[in-house]
Amino acid sequence: MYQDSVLEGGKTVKRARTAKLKNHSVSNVAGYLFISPWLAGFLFLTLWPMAQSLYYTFTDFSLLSAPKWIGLQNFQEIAQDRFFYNSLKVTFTYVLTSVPAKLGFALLVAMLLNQKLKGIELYRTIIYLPSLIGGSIAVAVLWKNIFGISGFINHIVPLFGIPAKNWIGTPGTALGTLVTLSVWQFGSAMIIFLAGLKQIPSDLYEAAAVDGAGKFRKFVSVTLPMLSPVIFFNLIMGVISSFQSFTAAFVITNGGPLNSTEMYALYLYEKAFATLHMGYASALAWILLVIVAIATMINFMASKYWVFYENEAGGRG
Amino acid sequence: MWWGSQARHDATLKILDLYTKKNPNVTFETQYSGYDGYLDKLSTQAAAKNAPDIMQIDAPWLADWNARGQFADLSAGINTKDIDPNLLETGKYNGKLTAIPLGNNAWGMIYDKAALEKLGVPPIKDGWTWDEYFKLVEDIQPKLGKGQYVIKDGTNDGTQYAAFQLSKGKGWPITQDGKFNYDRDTWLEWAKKFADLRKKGAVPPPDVQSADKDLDPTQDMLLTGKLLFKGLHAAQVSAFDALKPGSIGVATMPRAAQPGGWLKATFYFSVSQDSPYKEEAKKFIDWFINDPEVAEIAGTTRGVPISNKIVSLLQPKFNAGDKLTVEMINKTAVSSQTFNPGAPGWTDFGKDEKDIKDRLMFEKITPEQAYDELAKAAKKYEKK
Amino acid sequence: MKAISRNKWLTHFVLIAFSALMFYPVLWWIGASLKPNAELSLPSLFPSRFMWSNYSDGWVALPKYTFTYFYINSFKLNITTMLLTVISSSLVAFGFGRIQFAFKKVWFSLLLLTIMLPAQVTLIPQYAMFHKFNWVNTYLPFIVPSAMGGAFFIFLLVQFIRGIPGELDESAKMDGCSWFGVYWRIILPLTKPALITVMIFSFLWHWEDYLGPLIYLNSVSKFTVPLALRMFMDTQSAVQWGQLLAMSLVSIVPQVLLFFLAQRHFVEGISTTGLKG
Repeated sequence: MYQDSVLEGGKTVKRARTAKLKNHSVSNVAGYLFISPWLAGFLFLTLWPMAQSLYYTFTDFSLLSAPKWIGLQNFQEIAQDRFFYNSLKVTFTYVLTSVPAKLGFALLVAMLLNQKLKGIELYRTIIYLPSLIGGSIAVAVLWKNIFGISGFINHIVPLFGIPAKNWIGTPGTALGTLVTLSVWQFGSAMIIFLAGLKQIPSDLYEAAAVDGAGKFRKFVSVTLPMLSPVIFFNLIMGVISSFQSFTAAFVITNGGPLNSTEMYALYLYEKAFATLHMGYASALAWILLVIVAIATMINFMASKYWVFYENEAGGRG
Repeated sequence: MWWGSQARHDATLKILDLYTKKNPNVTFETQYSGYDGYLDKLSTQAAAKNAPDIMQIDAPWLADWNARGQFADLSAGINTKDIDPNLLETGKYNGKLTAIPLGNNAWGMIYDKAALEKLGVPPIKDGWTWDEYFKLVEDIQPKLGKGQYVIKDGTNDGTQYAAFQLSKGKGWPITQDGKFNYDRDTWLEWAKKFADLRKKGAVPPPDVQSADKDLDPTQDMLLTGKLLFKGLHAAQVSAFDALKPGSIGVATMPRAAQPGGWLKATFYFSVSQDSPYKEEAKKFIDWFINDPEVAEIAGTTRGVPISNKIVSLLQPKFNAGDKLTVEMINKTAVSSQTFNPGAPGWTDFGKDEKDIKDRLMFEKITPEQAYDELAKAAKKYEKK
Repeated sequence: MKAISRNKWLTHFVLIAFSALMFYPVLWWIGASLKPNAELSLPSLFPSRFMWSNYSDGWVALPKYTFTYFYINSFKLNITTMLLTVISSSLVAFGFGRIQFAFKKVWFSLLLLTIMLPAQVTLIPQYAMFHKFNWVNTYLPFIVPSAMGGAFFIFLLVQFIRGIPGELDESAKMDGCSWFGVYWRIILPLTKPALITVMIFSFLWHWEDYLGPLIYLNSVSKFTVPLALRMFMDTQSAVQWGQLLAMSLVSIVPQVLLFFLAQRHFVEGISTTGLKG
């Protein structure tokens, strides 16, 4: 530390301050005590099942008889499995379209709902309702009644000269209806944004107003940077959960038509439980884990350029 | 452990109570639910060697579970003389009885009787043929409104095609011992027939019919009046009748030189190989399928009972829906094929099959290409 | 003055229109839940005759137990897991978000990694493990993990905690506050909106969880509401759709209530002026 400050001259003061701050926040005992609930859970409840599933990737395991070691055969078969490549393509398309759309929409609505307005609590609740339905069995019935052949959408589109069709049953549009569903269920991301917005100190806006900043300027120079840790969280979790997206495709389209909505997790589930190839499914799962981990790592590396943390501001220098 | 409807749960619980009353040394820990997720749970339990002693098993699972030796041998100790030997045969694996069928079932057709009457079409004759079936389509279709159809596009309906190929005397498309047996000419005849109907608009376009879901009152095309005929298992007929009272008619699968339909069992009871109470379990199953008192309580909650004696006992109590179920079974029984529960190790082929046939239906490939692809995909499974 | 009030009206208008769009499916659902089976296929929103019996019959439709029983089960389980999740997750998040310790990055990466592996493949070994612990057919497979903190919630809270100025706890520490004191007196009050978010999600998600209870609970006497709902579904019989829709509509009422009550505590961010150096 001392050498650093000598070498870098101008930055000496700030470096020194960081070092002081850091010293204060280092405590192995306290750190491990605080994370001990999770650590215990990880070591005693999560680690073993994860290790087991890693072991399964090298086996032929039908659930009904003991796993049999087959080395890398699962991976070799996956490399030639066209359903695997198809599900990858479907999933990537889904992630790349639904995540940005959902986050953008959620942020917009969160801003709209972050106002002091009469009845705002009621609006919030009503607007959150669709996300509640998401977990219910009724969602499949509902979606078919909106995008089905005699559904709601088909009463509207003919007005724009588009022929009525079963949007869920057409290969070109089925995935689109699932993306729409995911965007429609923006509630969770919206709530997290809302909580984030609530946490932005109001004095920052006041200061910006004093500087003569308009609405847009305030958004860019106060809201976005202050909200960036939360945006980052929503981005990471949005990517992870849409890579694992399963329920909607399972109950609404079951992967069809023409496998155009066969998400990776759906294919994995089919392999694991419908055709009883748990070894193969585990291999698929660990491949997905690697993909998602790489995507997350890229996000974390990129985050250095746009995510702003209050408590590390000093260290930026 | 079983799945089912509320009526079935009610009845089964009562029966179990009765059994405990008669055999105070036996108590039951019950697990029951809907069909959704049932197999997931059962597989999970089996993997942890925690499967229930007695489990209700669906026909498509038998091959795989048997192949892994999950089921105890039930050949001795259960009175099965009142069960149709052909049906009993479906519960056997390598000569050993491992699954006791619980209800009679058949693969046939239902139709919207009321709608046909309105169109002036006479009721379907017993023993009708595929030629009559397709002719009927061409005759009625012009009289129907927009968005209404006589039959569905059978291109990707594997069960229907199996009936077609069987009726031509060419056997099951995949034989029970795991051979690829699609007959090329029969397949092309079938696929081209539907390609022709599709072109004429006489069957629903693929996107429309993919939404059809049996017994879903908002999606089932027959219930919503968009479809007149549908292939169906007899056990489900009474449910259709409940949703569309009085207007459901039943028929056999159309035939050619041979019949198209077959008799099968609804589902089975099996005993876990890991169970410490195999003898007790057998005793219970024996009582369950043969005792008139059980029949009295159960009624048709597990379909038309498997024991012929019990059926005749219950006959006077059947409601309109049950009678339709029985009617389809009886019509099919006159002349039927032997059911094929599927070959072990071929479960994955279903996915290839569906993929290829869907592409054919969406007209991405020709019937000939579809055949070649089916044959090629099957190679993977034949070797094993 | 006038411009402001016009602006307000405009906001109200947008919000009402948007709410209506979001509410339409729920309206459809309410209508459908009052229909007899035969009318479900009709496009009309409401039935010709309201079948209130879908609710009363649905409530007692399952053998042996009524829905009252399943609701009590669900409440007992979900309130327990909710409280445990909030407590444990916030503790762990404080550790990760504020304290420097050896191998922190490794542990945090592992935490994220546990979210990335699809649950379908850990289900079997986890079941086998819980079976060995004799936890099957008890609520322990849900309660114990929630006492260990959910990875999702921990990450969420870490992000919020990192958004709080570090000078605050520095000065508190210098004033002789212990780590727990910092957690309790500074971080917890400042992350209130985030803690409420965790509460909401924990309750909502556990409430609607179906797969977990399906796998681990055997006795109907221990069933939760979503499991009981699935008992209406059976492919081989005529499902009582009206009753199913009615009961599933009722099942989201506690969620809506909790959400409504909890989000009222989303108060304006605490002004940190003056505390800041």
